[in-house]
Amino acid sequence: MTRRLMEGSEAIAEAAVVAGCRFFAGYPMTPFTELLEGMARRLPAEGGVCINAESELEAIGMAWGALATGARAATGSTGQGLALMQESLSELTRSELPLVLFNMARGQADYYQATRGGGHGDYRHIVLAPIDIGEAVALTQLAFDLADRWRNPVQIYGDYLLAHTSEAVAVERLDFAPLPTKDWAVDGSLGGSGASRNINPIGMTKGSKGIEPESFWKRLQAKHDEIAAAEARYESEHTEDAELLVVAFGTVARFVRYVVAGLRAEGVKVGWFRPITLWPFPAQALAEAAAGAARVAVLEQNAGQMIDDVRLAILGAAPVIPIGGISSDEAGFGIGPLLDVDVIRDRIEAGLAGREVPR
Amino acid sequence: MSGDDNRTRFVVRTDRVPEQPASRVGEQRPGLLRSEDHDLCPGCGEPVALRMLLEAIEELGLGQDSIGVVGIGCYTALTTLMDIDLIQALHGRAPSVATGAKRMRPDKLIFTLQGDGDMVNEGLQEVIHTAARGESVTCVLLNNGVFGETGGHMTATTVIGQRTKNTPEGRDAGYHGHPILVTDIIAGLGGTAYAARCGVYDAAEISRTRRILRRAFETQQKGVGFSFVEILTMCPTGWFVPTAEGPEYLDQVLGSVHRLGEVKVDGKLVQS
Amino acid sequence: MSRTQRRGPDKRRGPVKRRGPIQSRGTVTIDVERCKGCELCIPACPPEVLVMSTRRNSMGAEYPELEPGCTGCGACLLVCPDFCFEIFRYEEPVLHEASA
Repeated sequence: MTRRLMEGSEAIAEAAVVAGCRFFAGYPMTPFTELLEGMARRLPAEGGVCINAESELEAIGMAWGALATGARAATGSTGQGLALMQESLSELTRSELPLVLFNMARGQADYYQATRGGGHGDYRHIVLAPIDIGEAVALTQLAFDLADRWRNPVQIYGDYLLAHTSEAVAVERLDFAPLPTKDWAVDGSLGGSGASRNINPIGMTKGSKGIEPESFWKRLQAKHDEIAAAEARYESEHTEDAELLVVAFGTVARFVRYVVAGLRAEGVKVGWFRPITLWPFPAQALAEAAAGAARVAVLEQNAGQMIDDVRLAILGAAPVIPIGGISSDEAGFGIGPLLDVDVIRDRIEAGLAGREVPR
Repeated sequence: MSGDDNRTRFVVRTDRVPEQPASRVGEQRPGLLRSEDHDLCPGCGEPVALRMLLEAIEELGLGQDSIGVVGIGCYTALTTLMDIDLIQALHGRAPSVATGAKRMRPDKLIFTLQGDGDMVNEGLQEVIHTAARGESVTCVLLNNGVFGETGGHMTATTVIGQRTKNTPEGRDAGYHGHPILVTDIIAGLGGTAYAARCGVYDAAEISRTRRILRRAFETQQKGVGFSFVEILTMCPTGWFVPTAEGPEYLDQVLGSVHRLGEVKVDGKLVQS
Repeated sequence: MSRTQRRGPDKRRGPVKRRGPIQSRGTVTIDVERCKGCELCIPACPPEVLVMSTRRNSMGAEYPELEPGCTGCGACLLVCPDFCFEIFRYEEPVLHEASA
């Protein structure tokens, strides 16, 4: 297994190509731009297509068309760009198209957008939050598999650090269980057969005049319930005897893991828990991990968003306190003073002592 | 409506095929239309345009090699009748969806079907950039100068003086601005190889519409660039005119601004 | 002369009075239940042999009737938004007597 020093964006692009992604469309925006560059470099060599879209609205539209023909396709941006895509993200989910969406976010303030969605109506996306570049390579390939398996969009929640730092990684193709053929995809072949396809988000069926949104949307709800039951993923450590359980995701969890290891070496009874899937949120696993803890502390780089899901999981069994907060560099790109081992250690110690933490 | 009472009415039976030996020279509906049962308004020009589009595809033998990307408007209801593989796109986004589909299926005939509200209001950026990129797709615009589905409201192609639900006294240039002549804009872009306007206000012009659609599809098949067809269609409901006066209104009111004819052929502007 | 100054569609005109048996080179079937009474076929018929009936279909719409003199040209089929027409051409022209 030969590893190579790769920037996160390049490694993720490589992983997508290895996973069979053959279409990408995007609009440059920091810190997503380098992923677009990676795709523009790698896809043509693989017989794929990478288009510099005139705006995010068209980028998601193009991916929509590619997906509908059965190709593995992706798009992305940072949170602000994804805001422009929300209508399509909502309706594309109801068209049951297997989109992979990369949010190279500016910090963690897009948690609500990712897990609740900024689009209209009932819909859900599986959201995977890698802790480092190595995991991002694996989760990117998993994303393409889950998207096809459930015919539902899957998001990768990355950030500035993941995109713009480098690690030694080996991008190797992962294998997954076989998938059914995409008979639903349009290729023109059923034209004139009386059974031609119509990929649409409102339950239109060929031959019947009316549309049938209710039963169509209820079927999707049942699917999302199935996904919620089957696809929650998490990682935790030192939770058995932890007095304080620290909950964090993505890059921040990496710092927390490091700080908790240090505290544990000093005999401090603290544990950590991180959701790998922001949706479906691993609520049951979190409740079990927090069972013995006196207090649960949530360390996230925003004004407090994931804390809602943590509280829903704990349901009052223990006090849940925020120890993170808004933290950004002067450009707003999300590399702020919070991402510092000593700062995080102070926050965790405050959590242990039940002291208020400046947000 | 019938003849005078004192004159003997000669009425031919038309409820079944003729007994005398005859050959059928006109099918009730094209092969790619599953049924003729639709609820669009009396006198609507869109089903007429759709027939020409389906017949052009059939003529080229591409019924099993076509993918339609449909916008949102009255014509969306016709998708349940179209026996072609379709992708329903969001309002205005069809040219982008078509781009992604064509890039992945370059051997298929990819076309969009959109209204003036869908394309020239909501999705003007999409169609302009798709044309500028020279995507090998055909965008078809059904232009009736109003948002038909909402009951007849002004769009970007509504002409000066035209009455709509939100221009009851007629569109006023000073207040509501000027109509966008989209075919001419599209024709001026480097990636556009074919651009034409036609209409469905009489039988001759309807036949010409089929020929123009066919030439656009042939342009796509030759892979020489983007092709664009604007079809002027009647919307008596949205224009507040009796159905029988729709064709003349289309010709005189819309046709005098959105001038019919081929504007660009084989990448060269046609001197009109 | 720009395209749009061509002769516009004909005003809707009533049937021309005719005398005696008339020859038809073709005929049509009309799916009167589909018709919505838009009358577009009436002025479109070159030999002017389509006339709106006073009878109505189950949706309450008046529909066209055919008088002798049809040439089987198919203009009605082209202009009809509701796909009501089917066009036939007789092997030999047919003389129509006054029908009931």
